[in-house]
This record gives sequence, C-alpha cells and structure tokens, in this order.
Amino acid sequence: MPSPLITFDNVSFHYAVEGESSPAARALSFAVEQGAFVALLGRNGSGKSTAAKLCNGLLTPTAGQVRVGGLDTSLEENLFEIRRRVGMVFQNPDNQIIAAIVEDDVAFGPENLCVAPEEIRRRVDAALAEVGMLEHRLAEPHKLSGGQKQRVAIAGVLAMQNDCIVLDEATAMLDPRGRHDVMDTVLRLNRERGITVLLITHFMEEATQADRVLVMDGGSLALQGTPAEVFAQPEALRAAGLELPAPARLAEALRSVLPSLPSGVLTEEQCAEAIAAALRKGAGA
Amino acid sequence: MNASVSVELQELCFRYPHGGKDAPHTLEGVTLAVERGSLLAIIGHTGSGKSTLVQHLNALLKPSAGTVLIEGKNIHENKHAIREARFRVGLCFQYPEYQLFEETVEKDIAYGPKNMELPAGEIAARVHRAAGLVGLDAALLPKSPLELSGGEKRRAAVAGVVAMEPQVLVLDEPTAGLDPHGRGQMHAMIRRFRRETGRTVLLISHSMEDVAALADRVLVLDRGHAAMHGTPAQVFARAAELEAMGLSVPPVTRIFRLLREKGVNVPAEVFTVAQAEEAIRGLL
Amino acid sequence: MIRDITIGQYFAGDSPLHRCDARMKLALTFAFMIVIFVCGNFFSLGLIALAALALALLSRVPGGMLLRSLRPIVMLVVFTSVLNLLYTTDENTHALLQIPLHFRGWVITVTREGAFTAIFTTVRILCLLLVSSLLTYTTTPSMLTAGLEHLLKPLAKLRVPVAAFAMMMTLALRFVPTLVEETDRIMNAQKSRGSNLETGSLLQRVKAFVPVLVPLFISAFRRAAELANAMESRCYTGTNERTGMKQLRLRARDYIALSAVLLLLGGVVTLNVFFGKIV
Repeated sequence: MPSPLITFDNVSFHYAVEGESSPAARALSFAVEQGAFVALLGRNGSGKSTAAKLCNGLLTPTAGQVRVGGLDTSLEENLFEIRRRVGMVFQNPDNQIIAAIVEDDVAFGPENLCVAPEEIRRRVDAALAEVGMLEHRLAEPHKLSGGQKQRVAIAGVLAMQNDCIVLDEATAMLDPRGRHDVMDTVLRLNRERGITVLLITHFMEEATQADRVLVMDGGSLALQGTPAEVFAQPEALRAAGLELPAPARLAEALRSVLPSLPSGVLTEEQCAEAIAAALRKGAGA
Repeated sequence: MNASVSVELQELCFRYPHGGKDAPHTLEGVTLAVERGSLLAIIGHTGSGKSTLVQHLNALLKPSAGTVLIEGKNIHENKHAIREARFRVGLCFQYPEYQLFEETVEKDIAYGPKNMELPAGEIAARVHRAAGLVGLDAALLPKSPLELSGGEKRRAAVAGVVAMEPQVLVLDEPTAGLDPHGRGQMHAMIRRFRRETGRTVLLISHSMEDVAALADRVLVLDRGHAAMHGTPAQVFARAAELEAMGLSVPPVTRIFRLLREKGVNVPAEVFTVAQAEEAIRGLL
Repeated sequence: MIRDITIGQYFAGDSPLHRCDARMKLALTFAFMIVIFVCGNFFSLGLIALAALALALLSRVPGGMLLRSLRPIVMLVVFTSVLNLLYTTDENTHALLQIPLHFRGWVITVTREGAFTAIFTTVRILCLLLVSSLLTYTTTPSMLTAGLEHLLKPLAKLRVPVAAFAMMMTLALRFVPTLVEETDRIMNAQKSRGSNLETGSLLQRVKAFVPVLVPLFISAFRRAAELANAMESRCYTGTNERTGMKQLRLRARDYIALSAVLLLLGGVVTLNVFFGKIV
C-alpha cells in the first residue's frame, strides 16, 4: 500500500464573509496516495476549488488538518516545502504565467527555491521537453494557445521537482485540442514519471481515466470510488449536479431497449463492445 | 433574394492588414444563407475564422470584399445601416459575464435597449422579458452582478443582448467553462428563446454535443473557407474529414462508428442519444 | 490580430550587439549620451555620427526598422531646426539669406551660425535616438529589466525595493499585451450592445468608456488576485532570496565595447581641444 501524499483529516473551511456563511468545505476526509491519479468532481460552487487551495496552504483549514507528506499546511514554516512538492495549475492560463518569455517563466519556481543557475537551465530545458514545449522556449506567452500556456504552467511545476500536480479546472477554458494535449501530458507524467495527480474538473470524460474519483457537493464528499463504481450511480451523480460521461449516458439510455447492457461503462470502446455483446445476446435470445 | 432568408453572406472575404492569405482568423469567400428562425451551428478549429465571421454580422468588422445582408439589407451600406445592424444582430461574445458593468443586473440588461433610445416603459418591459427568456429569477434583478453565481452571471449577460430583441442572436461559445448543470440550463435557454421568439440563432461551439443537441444546420469553417454546410446528419457522417480539420464528431456518433467497425449494421448518421435508441430498436 | 503585438521593439538577432551584457549596454548607452553632449565641434560630431552608424551596422537591425524608430522625433527635429535657424542672430553672425516679409517691415534673417546650430542639433538628436533605439532593438525587455535590477542593486542597501521594482516591471511587460487584448474584446462587446465609443463630445465619449473601464478594472483585480495565488504556489514570498537562471556575465566582448566607448570619449575630447568648441 503506497503511503498517502496528501491527507485531509476532517477539514472544514469558511470564507470570512460577513452575513451568510455556508462552509466551502465541511468535514472533508480523504487521502491522495503517492503516485495516484485522483479526479475530484463537483458542480460550480461545490467547494472543489477550495479543496485545491487547501492542498498547498493557499488556504488553511478553519477546523481539521491537511498534511502533505506528513507536513501540516497550517504551519508557516512548512509552506515552502509543501509548495515545492505540490504544484498547482490554475484555470485561467493567462493569470499564472509570470514572465514575458516562456523559459523565464519556467525558471521562476526554481529561482525562488534558490537553485543554482546552471541547474535551473538544465531543469527548465528538461521540463519544457517533457511537456513538448521546448521549441517554444523563447516565445512570448501571449502568442501561445490556451493549451500551450497550460503546458508551460505544468513545466513550471515540474522544474521545481515536485511530487504532485493539482490541476484546478485547468482544462475548463481550453478548446478540445488543447484539452486533449494537457490531459495527455498529465496522464503521461503520472504513468511514466510517477507524479501524483489531483485533477479537479467538471468534464466527466477526463475523470474516467483516473484511478479514483471523488465527488464533492455542498462542501463535502458525496461519492467516492473507482470510476466504474462512481459512474454506475447516475442518480447520485445527478443529485450532485453532475452527469454521466457520454458513453455511460448512452448505455444507460439504451438499457430500455437492451436490458442486458452493464452499468459503469466508461470509454467509447467499452460502450461499443457492450452494445455489440448485448445485441448478440438479444439476437441469440 | 429568398424571402425566408434571414442572414445572407455573399463571397465574404476578410484579411488583416498585415496578415497573409494563410494567416489565422481570415475569411476566404464565404457564401451562406441562413433560413429565418433556424439555428445554424458554426464549428471550426481555433483560428479557423469563426469569430471573424460573426463579427461581420453586426458590422464590428468591415469585409475586405463581399457583402453581408441581414433581412435583405446590406449592413455596410452607410453609417446608419451599421448602427442599425448592431441592434438587429445581437452578438454575445465568449465569457460575456466579463462585460457586466452596471451596479444592478437590471441596469446592465437595460444598457442595450437604452442605447436604442427606447421609451422607459418599453425598456423595463424588455428587461423583464429578457430575464424571463434566459431563466433569470426576477429577484436577482436589483442585485449587483458581482453577487451572482457563475451560471447566473452568464445568463444575465446573455439577457443584456437578448433585451435588444435582435432578429438574429449570435452566441459565441455560450457553454464554455460551465458545469453540466449550467450547460443544461444554457441549452434550455436557447430552446426557449427560439420557441418564444421564432428568431434566428447562430451558435459557435467547440462542443459537438451542443451542436448535436441544438442545431438545424451546421457550417464547418476551415482556414477561412466554408468547408461543409448541411444538416448535422450530413456533416457528422463525414467524420474522417472533420477529424482531419482538427474537429471531432459527437461521442454517440463515434460509438456508432465503432459498432459498424465491429460489423453491427447501424446507420452512420446517428448523433443524439434519442437517434441511437431508435437505431438500436430497429435492429431488434 | 491584436495578439501579434510585441512589447518594446526587440529585434531578434545574434549580432555582437545582441550578445553583449545588458548591464554593459545600459551603462555604455548612458556613456554614449554623455559623449554626445560633450562634443563641441563638427569634427567630434562627425566622429560620433560615424560611431553611431558603425553600431547600427554591427547590430544588423534592418535600416527600415531603424528609420521607423526615428520617425516620431521628426517633428521635434524640424521644430528645433527652424528655431535655431531663425533665432541665432546678433552682431557677430553672418547673414546667409534675408527674406523680407511685407508686414511692418519685418525681415527673416537666416545666418550661417544659425544653419550650423540647426545641423549640429539635428545630428545630435538623431545620434541620441539611434543609440538608444539600438539598445532596445538588441536587448529583450526581460534582459533590460534584469540589467537595470543589477545596476540599481546598490540602492537596495538604502532600503530601495529594487527586486520588487524589477518584479513589477516583469509583470507589467507580461500583462500589457493581455490587457490590451482584453480591452479590445470588452470594447467590441459593448459596441455590440450599441455603445458609441467613436463619436460625440468629449464628455459623452468619456462617459461611453465607463462600460469598458469598469469591466477592465474588475478583471484586472481578478487577474491580480489569481496571479498572486499562482506566484505564492511557486514559492514566491516577495522577501526571500532568489537566484536567476540567466546570469549576467561580463565577457571579453563587453570589455572591448567598454574600451571602444572610452576611446570614442577620448577622441571627442581631443578633437574638442584641437579645433575648439563652436557650440
């Protein structure tokens, strides 16, 4: 059993707003294992972005505890190490690139960590190659597409030699190709480099590739399990303001005609295979 | 000219002053007629010219060559026609919530009608009609736009365009960044708008599911050219060509293509769940 | 498309000028300006003009681009030339040309000294501009910022927040294009709702811009907040020590450049002494 990298232990969080105060996180408990790919789903306002910001101490819990590799995020002296280990990629690609040249931006993190210049150079080139942006290293960020900017942001995290990437709706503003490129990069980093991924999204299709899915609603955990388990519960998902991924939705609708179709169908290939099998059975019956 | 045509483009060309022929966001002789009351979806890869095209419809851009006719009238004829086009074609940009500026939602929706110099009573009536059409609760009208949720802000911004009661409503990526619930509400809003006003709608979208669910006709732009134009069934049947342009087909269509590859005899032009059900029922 | 704008006027290249250290270039540009002011006669001015032209050739920036950067100053040059031509008159000057105006007996007198001063000033301004544009043509804005930060470092001892100032400059360079693009987008959105940004009285136009400025400010604040989160997430604290990937290093060519400018200074001073100052 791999050790947990991030643990949420009964975490609650209130934004300090006068008047109405519904908590943005309510008694949240979960763990993200080292090397895992975890998807966190939830409708707008479900508290999933709050959870992201709790992961690296941008927000600290009003109650409970968040630990990264055993380090408590509420202690100021731990923040440097926590933020080095847990890199964040945010939603708006424009608002997280700091420098006017791609490679200078990737160097920003290591510069803050006081890494030696030659080592930074090496890390920057390696990180840019890893996300397929090396040829754009001298480009100006505002001339890149959204998907390219997000990959630069991922390189900026990799250059800090992180253990984990938290993607806070990082694909929400991208076109399909950009989304595909970013997802590809993240999956590869997880599978090949063993980087832990916490993917926060409201695209159900992206979650089907995760090891584990968490569903948040109203600041607390509504569902969790493997993608097959979670996406076998259409009613619970709908109650949380979400829907099934398209292949599962099709399978669910076709069950009125093909009762033998299984639930928890995730990918298009699985769906086509299941329909073909059910048709054969139907024809045989 | 056909009396039932609402938007007509004739050989529309546009090039940016310093851009070459193959520069992104250009248009190369697009000819198109959109039937009144229909919904045309415009799809294309980023930079294919979709946004450039719709910015011609209300005269934000002036074509390098060709004409734009709205309800039979050339909108670039003179200054007056340009001004008129702004109100006859309601253009709602991507992430329109970023254009909200007034102290209250009500005042913001009223901004367009006010610029049209309508009488106060008419403005108030339109604000309420528009709020109803986009499904915005009347209780939100006196609030500040900053107090609204993301989905509500989006609908308030759309209401600001709808309140001008344009003959043609153009929506650029109206579901971008919304969660499944918000997307569902946006679909419902578009259907309600069409049902209650009978106006023409142009929809730019990267989401093939949006297109499959809403469109009567689809225009495919590729590097400034109109590459395909037809019903969703006709367009989505050409999946390989679409993919070569960096586009995709709806997931249901892809699953049915996989089924055909497995030797199941299902039709190629299936793009909604309802059609899929129909097709499978036909096999049993 | 607006997305094509480039901040500053950097011309990507690999000339000896491009490869010089940004600090040295900044310092030498400053030194060159002093030399230009020191020069006192046509001989030293000629030497300076030759040096400036040599630099321009060395930079391999296309002549057209250089001329374009001189364009904004043309009006100033014409204006000062005319003033110099007309107002340099006293008992020691030599009239070159007299144009009688048939009005109250006024006469416009163009003197030889006036013509000299006009030419002298023009060449001086052009050299000044040429040298400073060569600096920005051959140095990226980010290297300029870094160079400035290093040169101003001694001020940090006086509690001047030099590093924070340099970070602000970096962020400004990064966000100006983004905000320009956003302004364009919001203007189009409000024009689509019938706002009239082009006509009307000044007051009307200022009022018409409120619907553009309010969303722009809201968005700028949102961006700033998100940017602060992104920077903090990457271990920026604003106070901690940082290293830099791009180390500024003085190499042989920088010392050659330094010697060249010193030589030029020496030459100009010698020529000043030899031929006397006329200005």
